[in-house]
Amino acid sequence: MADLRVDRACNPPEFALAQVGVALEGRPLLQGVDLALPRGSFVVVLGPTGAGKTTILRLLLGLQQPSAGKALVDGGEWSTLNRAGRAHVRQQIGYVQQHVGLLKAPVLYNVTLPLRWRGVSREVADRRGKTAMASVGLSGYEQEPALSLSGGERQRLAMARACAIEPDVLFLDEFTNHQDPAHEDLLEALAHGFHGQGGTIVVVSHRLDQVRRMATRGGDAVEIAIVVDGRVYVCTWPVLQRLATEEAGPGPFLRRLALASESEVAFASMPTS
Amino acid sequence: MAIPLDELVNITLLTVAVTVGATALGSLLGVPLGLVLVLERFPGRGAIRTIVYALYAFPPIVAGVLLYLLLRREGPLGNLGLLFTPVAILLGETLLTTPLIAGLTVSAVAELPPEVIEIVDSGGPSLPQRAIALLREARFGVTAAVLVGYGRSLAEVAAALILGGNIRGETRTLGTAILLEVNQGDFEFALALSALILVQALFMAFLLRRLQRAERAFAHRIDTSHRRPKRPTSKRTGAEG
Repeated sequence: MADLRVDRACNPPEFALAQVGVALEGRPLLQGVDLALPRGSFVVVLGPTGAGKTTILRLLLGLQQPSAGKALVDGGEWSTLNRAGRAHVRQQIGYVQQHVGLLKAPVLYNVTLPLRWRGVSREVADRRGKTAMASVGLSGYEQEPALSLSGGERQRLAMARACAIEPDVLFLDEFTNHQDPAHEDLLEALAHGFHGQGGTIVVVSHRLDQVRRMATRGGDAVEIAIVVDGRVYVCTWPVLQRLATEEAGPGPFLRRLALASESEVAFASMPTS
Repeated sequence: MAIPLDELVNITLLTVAVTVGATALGSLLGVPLGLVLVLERFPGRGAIRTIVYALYAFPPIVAGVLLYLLLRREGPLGNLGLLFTPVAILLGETLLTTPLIAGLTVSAVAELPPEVIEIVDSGGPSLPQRAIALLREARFGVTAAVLVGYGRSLAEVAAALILGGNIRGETRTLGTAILLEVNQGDFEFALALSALILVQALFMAFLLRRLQRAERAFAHRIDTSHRRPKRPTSKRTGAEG
């Protein structure tokens, strides 16, 4: 397995959400969200479907403006950056979408286009693209139409695209949803390897078993941001287990999630509220 | 024959030149305008879009009159001496093709899946890189927009007549020549000239068909590629949908 390399002079920008609120068509989705991503941080965003997890990633990427509060990158608001400034930050970020956007082109073109945008020569881009594809088990698919790939292959293409740019930051949105256990383990190992080299990483998931694996694998200091009812509760895995016993906050959600998850999850036998 | 062969050739060549020129100019103006209208947010965007859509039905005679007022000797652009020249016809046709190409470009790009636009934006492209990537994705729709613009220019007579003056050997196009022949009662020759326009229209239809076939072939390749033997199997797990 090839390593997911970060840029040699790895210096990820710092991201933060300060008292952020988001309303969609008048309906409040997020309220008073505070979330800090210092350099080299590892955050897993957990929450039920539709809670606003993807919206948090979009806010961090500057693809969406908050209705209230501030979305910050390196201390400045995204909204104050000009086009070049936004491009500069985003060129350090590898992004795997929940619904993977693919260009009507061969797989290798999809993987290498962001590299070409950075002025990398075609030869070098192709070489890095093929290495990234190999790291996610997509060797041999280079000239296949990207749109012909299965759901799991599309996610791995997205991971290869994110890896190929040798990013400083990875935003992974439900990045193993369509994977078999072997490929899920492969992608999670890539994510941990990336963090081990100093990169900042945010993983969005709605599965407790995955959150547990991500939070307890190796020696990574992983924070968990639980998104429930528009609020975000930041904790670590041990604290999350304690939160699951409480009546207020994310407790009821965590207990429902534990009951629906594998029995090996430590607090699966907690009573429901 | 009502028109000598060499004059007929000149008329046909002028028609092709004006039509191709107006389509090219209309594309150079209309495609970027369409991209800006669909991808950028700025005050007045909705109003400009409405105007562009309204200009789909811009009557050529009105476009001709407006440009005539600008280009006539007493008009603000009169000193350029463009009235009753092929350039005046070209400008008139461009005025008609630009909104059509811009509006259809808006439609073509607006139909792209939002996740495609998002992944392009998240990669941090420059403005031209972003435009090229999204145009490439919407290439079938945008090419169709350009061909529709070509069709409008080809079929147009009123503006060409007002702005060109139908001057023999100088500004006579196939459309204005047909009008002249009809006025003189030579329907047989008018029909022959019409056939020359139809040949161009058929050529345009041929291009559109080729485009549709290319799109279908691409979709077919996507649908059937999993059955092709060259696809690697060693890396597959068989557990994916």
